[in-house]
Amino acid sequence: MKVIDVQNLSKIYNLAQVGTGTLHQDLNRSIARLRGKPDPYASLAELNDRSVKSKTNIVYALKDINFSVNKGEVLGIIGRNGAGKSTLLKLLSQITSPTTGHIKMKGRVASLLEVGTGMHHEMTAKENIFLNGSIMGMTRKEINAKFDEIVDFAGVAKYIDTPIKRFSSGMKVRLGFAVAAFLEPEILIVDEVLAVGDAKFQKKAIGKMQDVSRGGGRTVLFVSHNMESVQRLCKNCLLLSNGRLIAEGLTENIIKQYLDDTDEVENISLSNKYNKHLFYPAEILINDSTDKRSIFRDEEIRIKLKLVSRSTYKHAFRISLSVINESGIIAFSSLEDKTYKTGQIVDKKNLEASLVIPANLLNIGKWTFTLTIDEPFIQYLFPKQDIFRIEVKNRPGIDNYQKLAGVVSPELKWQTNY
Amino acid sequence: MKEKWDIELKPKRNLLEIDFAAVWRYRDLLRMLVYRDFVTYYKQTILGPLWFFIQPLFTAAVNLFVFGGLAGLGPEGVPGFLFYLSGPILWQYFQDTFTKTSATFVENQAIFGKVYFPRLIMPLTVLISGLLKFGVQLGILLIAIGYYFFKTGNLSIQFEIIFFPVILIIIMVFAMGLGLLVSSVSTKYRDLKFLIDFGVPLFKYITPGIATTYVVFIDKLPSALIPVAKYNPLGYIIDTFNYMFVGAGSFSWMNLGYSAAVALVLLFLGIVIFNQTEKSFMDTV
Repeated sequence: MKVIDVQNLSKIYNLAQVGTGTLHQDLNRSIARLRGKPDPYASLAELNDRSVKSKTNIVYALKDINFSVNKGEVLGIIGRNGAGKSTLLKLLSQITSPTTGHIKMKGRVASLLEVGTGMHHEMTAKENIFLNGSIMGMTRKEINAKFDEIVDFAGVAKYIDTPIKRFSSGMKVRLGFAVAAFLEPEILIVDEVLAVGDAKFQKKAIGKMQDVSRGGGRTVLFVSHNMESVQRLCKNCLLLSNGRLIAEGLTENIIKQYLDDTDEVENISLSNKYNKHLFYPAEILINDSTDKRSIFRDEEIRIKLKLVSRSTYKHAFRISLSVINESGIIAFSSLEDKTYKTGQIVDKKNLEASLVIPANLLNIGKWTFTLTIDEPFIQYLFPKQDIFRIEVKNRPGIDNYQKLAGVVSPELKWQTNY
Repeated sequence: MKEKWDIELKPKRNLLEIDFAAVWRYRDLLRMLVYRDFVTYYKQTILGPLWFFIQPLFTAAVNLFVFGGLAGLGPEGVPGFLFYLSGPILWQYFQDTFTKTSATFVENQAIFGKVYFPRLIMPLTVLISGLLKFGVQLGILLIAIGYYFFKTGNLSIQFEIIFFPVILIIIMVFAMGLGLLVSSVSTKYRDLKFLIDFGVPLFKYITPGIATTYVVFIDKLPSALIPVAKYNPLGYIIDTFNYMFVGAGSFSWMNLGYSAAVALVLLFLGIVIFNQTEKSFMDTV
């Protein structure tokens, strides 16, 4: 059964300070609106591509979005910054209204674009539970019924009569999330609220959201940049790009497409802009080649960084390289800190550092490498940045088995008695 | 088969498509917000709720000196202190309600940008929270009246005080209606806020019933300003209020009827425009 139905949804934003620029245009708009006609300036609007400076002041934050969600489904919404995710959430949660198209929903809707909305720092935790709960649409009776559970979930039983201005920010977030967790809407809309709070609490929060969708047959829309939690929670995903819905389907496929898409857009190449840093990689060789991007799983990966110290840097430093998979999970990081440990002073302008990643370690897929060079606790010489990507593939014909589960796939020694 | 949807979000909303049922569903929120206003109003002050008393008493004393003493406008036959206590109390309720309501969208954009509830809840909160303060101050007025009765033996309260609820409702409707109208316009044109901040306190002095009674006031007013005072429904409301409690003013169903009509028209327009504004004000605010 469909519980959310979105058709031809578009949203136009006007970037001008007041109105569309002139009173004349403002009046034209108002007249059209009063007569029930569409916005006469809608046709001027452009797609929201932020890399190009816009000619008009009107942009489409969303254009022609169509989708529907079934009861009990947990749908992820992903996309780069500015793709229109937040706008879509705002429309779904009735913060603002669409320019064209419509949204239809069944049942009570609660949106969690923020936790603890409307809480007042002078009021006690108890008062704030009631205040925040009623802002989220609960009745006094419902809050009363769940009060003990909420306090328990937030873990603030001891401070229930303390004004929340004495709370740590983490406690406030927990309190807000606890209230939200006990909302019982048919449709729950969640923005990246899970990004806050400590790891333990995040785990609890994600667990709670899974319970919500599984147990209650409730529908959840979840927007996040964290591919790991999207993957864990959502079976299906929507991918937005520049205000358009460009793909929908199984989460795994959509995330792949998203990362590919990101690849295309931010094609990483060593650029001149690096040389504004004190230390920068002038050249990176992978297996002795500067443009090698595809590696077989059973090959070693030899990485050679040719670094340039701009002002002949004379202190100890360390280099760290992180290896990140398609889902954004850091498989491991490796540290080179010889000079930092020994206090050796380096005064060369051109330096070289190499390392080897053993064969069969990285699993099949795309990998991103990020580089950081710093003087610990003092400054970044080269702040953390993605510096290159490679794709690890099966060697055709030899190991043609499926991809193993897991982030890495090291070859380990088995001992058998057969 | 036509499916039944509970919520339909469309670009346009009819002028009279106002969801009062939703406001009713959110009545617990209204209650919590009023409670919040009340418990947090005087937090971190030393005198706390005593400020409820201090404000009107000092205002009355200063007004008595300026209008009663310097300008010689004090009403005849009734204690000046009572007169200068009563008018400003009612005015203050109007001013608080109006200015806060007119800032609804601007002040609450943080909340409004994150969660949906019927926006009308916010002005209603202002209206009711203000009533609590007004109630306390009305108590002070009654105590002062009792004090003068005890001292002089004359009770200033008139029989018409039984119609006080009518006055109260008119001024509530008026303040809210005007506030809603202004709030909708001020989301886009912030100039209005500046106009209100200095305009409303000034307007107080050309409203009958503050400096002196309606009749005396009209008599002293430059002829150019007479229409301003005559068409101002607040003048009649305050003058009637003064009459009921202090015995200096007038009582006329005609004038009250006029004020009520203006208030109702404003409220109607205010709600209609507010309802249109609330659906997309986040884009302009």
